[in-house]
Amino acid sequence: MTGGAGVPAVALRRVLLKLLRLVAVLLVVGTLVFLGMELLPGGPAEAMLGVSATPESVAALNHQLGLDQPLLERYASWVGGLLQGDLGQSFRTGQDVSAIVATRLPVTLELVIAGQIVALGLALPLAMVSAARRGTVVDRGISMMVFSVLSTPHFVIGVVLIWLLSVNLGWLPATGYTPLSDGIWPYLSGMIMPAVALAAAPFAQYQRVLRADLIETNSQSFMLVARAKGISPMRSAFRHGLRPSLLGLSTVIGITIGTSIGSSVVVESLFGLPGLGAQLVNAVQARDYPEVQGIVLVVAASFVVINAIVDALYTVIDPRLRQRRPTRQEAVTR
Amino acid sequence: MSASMRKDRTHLFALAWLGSLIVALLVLPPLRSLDPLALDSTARFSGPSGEYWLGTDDLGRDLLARALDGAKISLLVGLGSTAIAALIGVPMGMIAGYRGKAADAVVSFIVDVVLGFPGLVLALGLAAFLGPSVTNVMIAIAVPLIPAFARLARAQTMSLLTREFVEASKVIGTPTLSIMRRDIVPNISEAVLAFALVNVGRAILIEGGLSFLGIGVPLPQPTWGTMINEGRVYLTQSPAIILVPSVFMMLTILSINMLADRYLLDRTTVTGGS
Repeated sequence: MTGGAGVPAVALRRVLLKLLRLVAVLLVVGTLVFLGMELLPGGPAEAMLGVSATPESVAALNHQLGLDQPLLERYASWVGGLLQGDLGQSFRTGQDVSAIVATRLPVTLELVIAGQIVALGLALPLAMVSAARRGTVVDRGISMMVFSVLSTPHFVIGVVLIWLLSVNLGWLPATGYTPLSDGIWPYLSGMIMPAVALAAAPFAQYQRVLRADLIETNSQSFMLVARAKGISPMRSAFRHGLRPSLLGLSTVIGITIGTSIGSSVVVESLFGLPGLGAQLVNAVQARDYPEVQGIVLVVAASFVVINAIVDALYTVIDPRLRQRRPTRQEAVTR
Repeated sequence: MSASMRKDRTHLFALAWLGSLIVALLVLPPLRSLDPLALDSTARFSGPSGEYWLGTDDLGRDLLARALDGAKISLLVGLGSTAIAALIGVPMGMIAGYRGKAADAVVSFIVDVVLGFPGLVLALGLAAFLGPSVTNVMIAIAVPLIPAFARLARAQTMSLLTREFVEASKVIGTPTLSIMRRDIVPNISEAVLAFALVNVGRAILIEGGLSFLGIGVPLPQPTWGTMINEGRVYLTQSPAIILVPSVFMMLTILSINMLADRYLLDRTTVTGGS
């Protein structure tokens, strides 16, 4: 956890240990996802067939799913399949889960990226205004608004947006997704509201972290010099204060991208976006466990890898962080 | 001092809302014989009236009665799942922090694995596999909240290990369990409680999300999330169906967050920071 003296051998050892840990975490996550199906009451076949289950249909389905094989054998073939990119087949459609993921993952990624753009686009100016006008009515108003946003669920913000922009004003379609290839405006009109709904919580976190960091930067001597030269508070915040204050923000961005993947589940379902999250909800509601298993595994794996990359990036960006950096929970609850 | 007075007011607002919510959900239903499930076909989509204070939904069900019944579930699940998460996470973190080495490695690994899933996805997956019931929803929400408690307790315990009273206890040969109970627990409980408060808000948010997706507490039990989900269809006719649970939910989470913020602020000013 603590940083070494910077000896290359030590650094290399640490990187290797981290990689090993990453692989181990992925392995355990995968095994847990696999075992989840085993632990279903009455077994997956009965759970999937529901009330219409008869001993014959259960046996048939068990055979179809390969569940009549011994556990270890199935585990081995499941892992073997994973290594070849085989996530199993959907129970409802028989489609390859990996194919489902491949068509739906891009939509989720687009949404998450759009959400980040909106969140940063709103948080940067509002944090700078807040910091420059610290303690004034403006700052307090913004802080109160940000705090309220932090306490409002994504789906409430989404429903309010639909009510306002679709039902009342008729500006944007309430649901639906148009691919970018069909034109930039149809694409954007379907993406704006989901992006804003997804951006809400990250925006609030960014604003709070950046405001605090900007205020801290403001207390440093080079900012005093800037102001002594007669530069206006807004201008000095932009020209001199922003860059040194971005590090805390970059920490939170990494965390938020991860949690946004989780929040996209709700947002996609609400706005009818054909992303991975909406598909997961469909699969859960239809008790299509092979599909649930595959999607959860992909989401968890990408989550783990994203977090590891972000973690590694910090230490590259700022050597000081090798000594101490905020843990995830600190940054989340800040 | 104006800053602290300002804080005072917001925290009074938070207490007022939570207080009246709890009183209302205890007193109003028996007093006015409110029934969250009773249908009234003569009063569908009705506005606020003497009989239905906040109006009715598409089936003529009392929105106030449903919102209050939903509050019961939200508060129950919020407190319940936070309690489960704390009861599992805190001992884990204490052992990791106290024992270090292997115990620490094991706990850190478990924490890493749980954090390998986005919170909502893990809760969703667990809820799907456990099956729909209030208890299962509580468990499903508690699991993703465990790591934060474990990490907090671990860090707090580690910082206590170097303090004289703990070292003294160790030197005179006090059994580990007694040290934990008498020296560690009382000294980390305040931080854990403050953090638990933040998590009640988070848990209510997740519960709302699960209910909204139709994977939370089973029907016909009304919850804020299901009310909002069901009301979506009638957005044009009667936005109140969504507005009522949304406002209840927002004010409740906002109040809890305000109290947590206030509590954390007090703690840092009393103990002199960090």
